Amino acid sequence: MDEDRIRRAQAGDPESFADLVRTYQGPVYSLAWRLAGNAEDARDLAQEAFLKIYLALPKYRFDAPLRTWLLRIVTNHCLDWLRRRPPPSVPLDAAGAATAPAATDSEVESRLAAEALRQAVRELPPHYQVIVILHYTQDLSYREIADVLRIPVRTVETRLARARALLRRRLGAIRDPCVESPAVPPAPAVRAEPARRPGSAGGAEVRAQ
Amino acid sequence: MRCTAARRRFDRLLDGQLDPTEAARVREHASRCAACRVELAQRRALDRLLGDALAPVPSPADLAPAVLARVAAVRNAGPNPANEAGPDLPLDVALVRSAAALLAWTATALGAAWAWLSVESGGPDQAARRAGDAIRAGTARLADTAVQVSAGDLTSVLQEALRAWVTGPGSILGRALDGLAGPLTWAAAHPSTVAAAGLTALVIGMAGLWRIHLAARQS
Repeated sequence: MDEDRIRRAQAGDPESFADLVRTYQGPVYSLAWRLAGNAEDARDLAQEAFLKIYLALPKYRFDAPLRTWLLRIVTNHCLDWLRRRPPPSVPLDAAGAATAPAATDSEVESRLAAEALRQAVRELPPHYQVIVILHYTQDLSYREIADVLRIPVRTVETRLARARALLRRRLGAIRDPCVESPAVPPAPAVRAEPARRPGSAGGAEVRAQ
Repeated sequence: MRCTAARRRFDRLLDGQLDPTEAARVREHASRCAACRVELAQRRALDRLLGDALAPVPSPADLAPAVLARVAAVRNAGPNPANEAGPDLPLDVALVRSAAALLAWTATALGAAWAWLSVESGGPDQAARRAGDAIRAGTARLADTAVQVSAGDLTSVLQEALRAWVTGPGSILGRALDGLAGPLTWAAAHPSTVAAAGLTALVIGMAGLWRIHLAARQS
């Protein structure tokens, strides 16, 4: 979204703000969904977050990318909600289940594994959970996550590593077919890391720590 | 590169956070060490599983219209308060900060006055002791009066507790007053520092009150 459009939205132009909502509804809803764990709460959280964005937009000073600024508001709103809400039940992943056609055994298995993984992520402490979700759902680099959460890059790195270690420990039972072979896998071909997920917005950030 | 050093870098390798030279060294180690190769493969698998499990969720078609309807309702209800010039801080935060600053100023001013008076009247130790004695005597008189007029056991217990707390040997209040002697001595020796701290706290407190005043006028 270009700066001119943002300035018009700040000045109160409804069409420009509608443009902003349409542009960012995907990232905002995805983040809310992954943190809340269900569609109904995600919808409410996304709406409330956009309302906060509307009220705070005149204070946006272009000192960070708009996406970072928006995600900061949404993340803080969702974290407040997570702290206030009663302990969560174990919801089925409606996003996966609702669209599921007849599935083969292996598909069912991998869906269950994915749901177990999502559940394990939801059981992480919130400050780990939010970093995992910003990294995997929003495809943010360490630097971008640090900017969203206003914490040092080193802290992001440490928390992400600890979160992964916790997940590995908790999900020892979940095995990916690729690593289930008992033998030591062959030496990997040297290739450019990382294999970024499809739809990656930012691309790999290669830099010295 | 040792195994521990290589494994410490695995996550950064998978996230593309290593520079090419270091990444090559880690991969080179993994190609020679079977255990690290397994570890790296497992971490890569978890990384891929997480990427799949936490993939973005398509937003519902009616989300944007619902958001815009709520925003329109807010817009029609009145001017956007965020557009108005006013304090960036929420009112309650400003209030707490102002109250804390004023409290700090009051405490500093009282401390400075106490230090000055105590220098005039024989030093802070003497002054603290005299004040402690006065408070203890006053509280004891109050407690005695209460004993005379009270009838219930509960009242008696409370009085005893109060008396022990205030006037007993090594009582909390007495010890607190004794503990103040040191800081007060320091304050008496550094009147300009105390005055500067008090003035700063006063300015912060007044600025906070002004912000609250502005916010109240706008609301």
